[in-house]
Amino acid sequence: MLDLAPSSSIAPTPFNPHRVDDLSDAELDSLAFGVIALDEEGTVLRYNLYESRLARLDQHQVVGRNFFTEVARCARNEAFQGRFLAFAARAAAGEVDRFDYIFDFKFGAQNVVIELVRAAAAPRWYLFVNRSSIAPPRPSFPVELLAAEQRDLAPDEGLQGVLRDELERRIVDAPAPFFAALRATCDRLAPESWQLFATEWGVQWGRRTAVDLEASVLERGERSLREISMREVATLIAAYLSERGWGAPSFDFALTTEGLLVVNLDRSALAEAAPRPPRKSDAPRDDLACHIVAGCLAGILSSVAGRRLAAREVACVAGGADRCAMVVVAHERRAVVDAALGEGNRGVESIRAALRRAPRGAESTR
Amino acid sequence: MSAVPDPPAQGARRRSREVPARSEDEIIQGAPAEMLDRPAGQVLESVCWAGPDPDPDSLSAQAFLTWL
Repeated sequence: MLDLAPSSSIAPTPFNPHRVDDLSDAELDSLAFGVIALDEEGTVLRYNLYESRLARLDQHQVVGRNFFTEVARCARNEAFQGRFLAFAARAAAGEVDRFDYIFDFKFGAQNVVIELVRAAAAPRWYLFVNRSSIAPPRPSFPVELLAAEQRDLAPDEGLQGVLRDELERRIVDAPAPFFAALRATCDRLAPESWQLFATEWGVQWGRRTAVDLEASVLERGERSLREISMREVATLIAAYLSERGWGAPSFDFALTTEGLLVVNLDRSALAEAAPRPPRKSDAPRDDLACHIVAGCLAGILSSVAGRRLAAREVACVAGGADRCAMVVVAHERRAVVDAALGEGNRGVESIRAALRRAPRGAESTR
Repeated sequence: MSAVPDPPAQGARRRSREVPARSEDEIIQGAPAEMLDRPAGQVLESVCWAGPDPDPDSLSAQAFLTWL
């Protein structure tokens, strides 16, 4: 039985290692353990987000290279490469091999459990990489055998218009007008779709952010997001968003007894980039602007809660509120919130009242 | 031809993040310390996401009967 426990709850459905070849790249990227697909010679065919994050290598630079000679030179030995080649030569579909290993990087030594699985329908082999702990670099390990760094795979990226953060994640420095332009485009081409589009974008982002946060937690020497304290998780999420300039979130747990978590967002970048109403106009503004952040919160918190949650913005600075506010509810109750918002209700208290009026169990299960 | 060797690879440009830390009171409200000390997964699993039992005084008779 494979033990892929740390937070496989991020996966949208229970993970079946023997069906991994059927998963899309987006689905692989939502898993909180490393996944690497190789051909029989060790060429990397697929490389998921979690592995990319903890190896500090760009997925796009790794795919197409030989895993043992170019990416993970620390695995170019009989214990790993030899074992893989022997497994690839003999294993039937569905067969599994499992062994402990240490990945040696310049920035640390990662204790891992490797699971090898042959894809069911193609000559592809999957490595599942479960990290149990991360230690400082081993001083005795030969430098020439350390796993590659991003700059080894792609030197001089600075001349190629590539910007990275301290963990080698590629980033784009997007000014606020970029988001104003996105909103203006949606308003012009598909105004009815803005909330749906932006919320789903946020949820997809949130799932990947949860993977990123899981990696951060492991690097701090702890096991998973679900197992660190609620205080630490709230602080991590708030820091993640505020460090990236989305505003300053705060979590209000006072209504969790009613199944309602409130997240306030001060100085929201999206609210401040939202279209301003014409002067002297009494026309109501399209007043909710922060759906992307709401979706992101839903994506992260769902992975921590181990169940589907939905988040909706219920008050926004773009509509004249003092601060942006979002409510997080069970996915099954989101229709009640959406209906209340559709009727023009705004503010946490209005939505709270709508939820209290709604008969329990009568929510939409769409 | 220059005799100067190529400089070592520099990699991409870097951006660092230095953001003043906010206090816990600014980030978290409405939760007892005991709740905040518990594992996050346990806290969020224990939330009654279905909501509380309905208040008969605030429900229509039809909605209350539906709930029953």
